[in-house]
Amino acid sequence: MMNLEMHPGEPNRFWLGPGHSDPLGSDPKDEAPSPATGIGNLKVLIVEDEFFIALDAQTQIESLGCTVVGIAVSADEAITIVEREAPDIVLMDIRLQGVTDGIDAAREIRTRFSSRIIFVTANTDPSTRARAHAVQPTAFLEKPLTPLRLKQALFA
Amino acid sequence: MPTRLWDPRLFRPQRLRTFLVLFALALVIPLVAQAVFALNQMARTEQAEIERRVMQTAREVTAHIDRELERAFVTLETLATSDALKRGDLRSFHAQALLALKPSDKAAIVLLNREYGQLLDTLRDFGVALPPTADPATAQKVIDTKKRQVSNMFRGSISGRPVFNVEVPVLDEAQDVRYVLVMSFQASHIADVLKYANLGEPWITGVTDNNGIILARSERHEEFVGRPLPPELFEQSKSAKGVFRAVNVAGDPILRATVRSDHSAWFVSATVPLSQVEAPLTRSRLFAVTLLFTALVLGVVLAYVFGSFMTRPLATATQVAAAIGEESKHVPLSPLAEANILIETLQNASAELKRRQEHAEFLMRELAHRAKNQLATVRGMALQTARDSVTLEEFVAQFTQRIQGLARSQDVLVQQNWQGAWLDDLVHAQLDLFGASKRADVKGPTLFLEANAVQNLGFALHELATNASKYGSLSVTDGALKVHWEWTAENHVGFVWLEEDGPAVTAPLRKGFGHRVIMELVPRGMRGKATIEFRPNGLRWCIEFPGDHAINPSNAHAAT
Repeated sequence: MMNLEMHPGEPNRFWLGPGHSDPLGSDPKDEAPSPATGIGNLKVLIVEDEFFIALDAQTQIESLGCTVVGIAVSADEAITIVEREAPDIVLMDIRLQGVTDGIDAAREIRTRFSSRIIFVTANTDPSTRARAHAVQPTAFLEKPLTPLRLKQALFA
Repeated sequence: MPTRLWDPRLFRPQRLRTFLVLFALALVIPLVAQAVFALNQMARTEQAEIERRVMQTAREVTAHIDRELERAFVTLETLATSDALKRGDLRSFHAQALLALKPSDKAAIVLLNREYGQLLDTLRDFGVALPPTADPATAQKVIDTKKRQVSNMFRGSISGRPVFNVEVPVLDEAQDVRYVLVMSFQASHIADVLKYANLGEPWITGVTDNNGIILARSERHEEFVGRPLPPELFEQSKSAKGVFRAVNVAGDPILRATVRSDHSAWFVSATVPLSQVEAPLTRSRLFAVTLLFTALVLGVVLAYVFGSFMTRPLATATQVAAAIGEESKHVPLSPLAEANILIETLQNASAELKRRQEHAEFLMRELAHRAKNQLATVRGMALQTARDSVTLEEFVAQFTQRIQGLARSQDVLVQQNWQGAWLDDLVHAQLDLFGASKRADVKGPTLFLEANAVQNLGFALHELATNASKYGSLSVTDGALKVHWEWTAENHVGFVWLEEDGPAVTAPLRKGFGHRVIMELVPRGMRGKATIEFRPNGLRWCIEFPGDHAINPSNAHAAT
């Protein structure tokens, strides 16, 4: 089913399926709560070198009432932003631009800063998972990211 | 249809050792058979030689005996012409006869009258009364025939010992037999002649008279002299021509040749034990059996040993084959070169298979990773497109185009095994979607971009081409497009999209998602900087990004 939502002064919004507010979306059971549900305002850094995915994550995070303090495409850039913004949570892809991958970047962030790590990756093979779990992340989410899983991971 | 090497219904598969044993037998048996045949032939030749020697010996011994008898005849015939004998002076003749004898002759000279009475005997003094001869038959034969004669064996009338006589007639003037002159020999004299032949063990020679009585024997003469030959043997001796097999008087199997004496018609025989004759054949057969047994045992043992040399490496090769595709273990060199080659080939195949398995697993992981990543990208693309669309039709059109643009970038990436893509390929792929590939002036140094940069720049090119085809130089026939790039002094890549001769351009009042893509998202994704100019003659978009997005394709690895 295709839905259309129209508001004066804003672009029309339309989406597929029976839901009502999440565009192009998600399975209703994956539907994330709105900021009005009272969930706290977390500062989140997105580390993702694919901008469409990063924008999607940003949209979902902001819909949960959290603040995106930056989008980094490499490990070095991520550490720089963590150092500057001190995010509560780093949403970390594993494959990044540059020689340092997301797991190594996460390890350094866990060592040097208090930010929690949520891995968001398409790498789900056992060896990668094992390496990632060694960093003791808050969660390990598979792509594509869904609002419900993101919410559960953020507020775990 | 492949031809079978064997029919399993007739011959079930056998172990290598069995084939080696059969191979050894196939080699050994003909050789052994040839050896046995040759030995048998040699044995038969040797046997024939023994038979020839037996016959020859019999003839030689017969000749010896005939010479002895001839000597006796000559002596007697010389004495028969004695004047003393003619005169009847028997005393003087007795003395002459004594002189004619040799001490070794074991003989006596006797003179008989026609009534078989002994007139003198050299064993007795002259004048002593003597009994008649114990062998009147031979004397009578001399009288009757007037010819020399040799008697059969008989017991001497004086000595009682086995003797034989050589007798000649003494004729008077009327050529009548006046006396019979006799040289009486002990039978042992012939035994001495036989011993003189000196044939040695185990040869036995013997003389049997015409009555089948043993006259002399080279061995155990005293034991057998005077004893009759077994009738069967005597009959064989009389009838045989040449060599024959028999049983001698002692009961031993023998090979015998008998020749008759010219002077005496005695049977002179030479014998050799049959065991001696058959010894070469027996030896040959024993040797053949030993050879065959040794060859068989040696063949089987060596087949087993050499089989082990082959089966152990083959077993190792089988283990290697069974573990193909697993972690290869060190296998020590075997003494079998072919097995080493097989093992090495299997190990190489195993390593290659393992490498391919790992590569296949890697590809599967990559596929899963890319699929999920692409789904996430498409989801993000759909959301962003939806946010920027006023109508559903607009969303569908924009989203479809972006998906097509993404697909074009994927195409050039797939052509290079997802390692990256040549920049000119990427530009042409994106422009081709709008039918603008040929009309664009695409120029720049050869440059291979890594996969992430390809995807990002692909998004930007798609947004620029979409805009150009709607509002820019690609929307009119005379519009021109230049896509140029170059290396900068800072080892960056300067990339320029320049539209010319299109509709007049003014800066847009509202900046849509496409603008955000080319000015914010792609520059950030490529760690670069972008500028845009809305020149009246056409849009000019520049991005400068770090040179490390350009890689050597041979060192490239998949990443996104």
